[in-house]
Amino acid sequence: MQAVFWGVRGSYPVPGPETSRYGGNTSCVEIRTNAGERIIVDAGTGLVRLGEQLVQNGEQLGNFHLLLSHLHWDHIQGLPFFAPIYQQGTQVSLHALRSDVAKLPEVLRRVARHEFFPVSMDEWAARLDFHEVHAGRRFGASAFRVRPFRLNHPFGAMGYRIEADGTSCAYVCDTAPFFQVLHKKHFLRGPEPLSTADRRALQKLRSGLVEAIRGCDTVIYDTHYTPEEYERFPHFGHSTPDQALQVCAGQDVRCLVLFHHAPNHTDDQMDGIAEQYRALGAQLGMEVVTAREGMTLPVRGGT
Amino acid sequence: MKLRFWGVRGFYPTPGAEFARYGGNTAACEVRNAAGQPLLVDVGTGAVGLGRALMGEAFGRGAGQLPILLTDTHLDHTGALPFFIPAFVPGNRLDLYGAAPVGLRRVLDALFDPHVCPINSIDNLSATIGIRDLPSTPFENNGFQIAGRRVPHGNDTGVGWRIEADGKVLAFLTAVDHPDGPLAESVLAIARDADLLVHIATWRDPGEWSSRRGGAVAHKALAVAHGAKAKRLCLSHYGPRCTDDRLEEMVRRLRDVSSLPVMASREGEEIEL
Repeated sequence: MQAVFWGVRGSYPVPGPETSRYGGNTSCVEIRTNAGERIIVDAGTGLVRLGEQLVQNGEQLGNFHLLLSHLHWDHIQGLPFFAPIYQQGTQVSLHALRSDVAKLPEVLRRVARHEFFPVSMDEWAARLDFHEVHAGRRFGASAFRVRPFRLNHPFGAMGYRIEADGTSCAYVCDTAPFFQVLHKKHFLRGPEPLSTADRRALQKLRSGLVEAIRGCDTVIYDTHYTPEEYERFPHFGHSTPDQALQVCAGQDVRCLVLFHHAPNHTDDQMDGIAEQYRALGAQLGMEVVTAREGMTLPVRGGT
Repeated sequence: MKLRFWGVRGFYPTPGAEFARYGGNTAACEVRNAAGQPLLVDVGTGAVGLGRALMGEAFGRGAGQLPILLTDTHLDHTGALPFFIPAFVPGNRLDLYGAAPVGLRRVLDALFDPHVCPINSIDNLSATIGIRDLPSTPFENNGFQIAGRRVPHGNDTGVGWRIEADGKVLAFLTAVDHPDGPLAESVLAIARDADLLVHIATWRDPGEWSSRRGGAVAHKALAVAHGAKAKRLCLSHYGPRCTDDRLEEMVRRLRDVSSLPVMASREGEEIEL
């Protein structure tokens, strides 16, 4: 398997000279088997680039699976501009959290009403079908086995463990850490006091995540913030590289990928983060890679 | 009156080397009158940078006022509102003006819907937010005389804006299609005798989605400028396939056939009227 990073940024796209090396497009990762089968995770603006590449190569996607972690704009904004959905013969199987599947058609109908995008969903040539995912309920998607698990993010988000070719890759995005804030279905102006039940829920989320990523060859993790930034915005639903390392350490994870970079992080800052955590990971026996747009990462199994 | 473009791209932001000279952020243009009072046209991703800059002024202490004119409700004109920092400072006042068949309020509610936006609701912004459906008569806000008209656009959300201050006229037509036949009266009225007309200019590859819909091509911009006797034409809201090289070629072609000054808006550039 290999993972191709088409968009690595969180919140909103950031074009410009200060982000040109790590890339400015929002979240989209393509996972490929050695035989060339694909699964796409999240549909941020990076997805548009993937579509352009497919058109350039004269490739048809045919049937493909799209896993959505959640519906925040930075994870769906590329979909209406994804060239294959205007090609006859494309069939998209969309997988998302139950509440998101219920909401998706409404969001897409908004697209149809032209309020947010210039092209109506009625003009899409592709066929779409929607599938609910449930934590722990595995499913097959072409050559892949997928295991969804819950994350800690406003209104809920799903992570996915994806297996094929005898290797495994997990997508853990977007998520807050599991000790200070429990995200539910209301707006947080700041951290709220945790009840005993909240603490239990956080523990359950964390142990579900740890169990899902155990023995994973590659883990792609929401490391939006530096620790200093996290201190200021603990209630925004994102983690730090340190928290990702803590979750993955001791779980037989071979490679941790830092992902969903904050939009204000310049390339120079990202260089510093990349080097700092590469070294820290090496001490823990883990390869730490910082995602860059356009990067193709082989997902290597154990020896 | 002067203006500064913070984002010039249409449809979606375009990071990448082939867009680096003119910038990849979506629509946002800061306008200032002689007294220094600000106005914003559109809240695409370019507005994030403007928001940060405004925090160094009255907006940083909650004493800022900003009229925001939306030429469209699409994400490339509205999507950065949840990331516009002055909106999170109590005391600031932002007045949004735009048009949508369901009403601007409902569109903004959908933009901030908790499933798609972590802010959950536009009511969670700390600044005072005014939401006004397109007024039918000209109005004044922050030292600007403003008139808006619905203009032809596939989605019924396109608005042309005419902004006057210090005896100068600035016209914005960045969400408009021109059907075959004579130019719409509304379009000509917005641009009439303008000192500067900012007009959409897309680039279309045959077969791509934007060949179906997505705004006027550049030569139509010139027709509007001539028809309305505008004094200068500034292109903006380029299609995402319009690389810097294509854009410069487009401007060259227009200059070859135009008696009017024609320019291409560029991120960070200031224009004095």
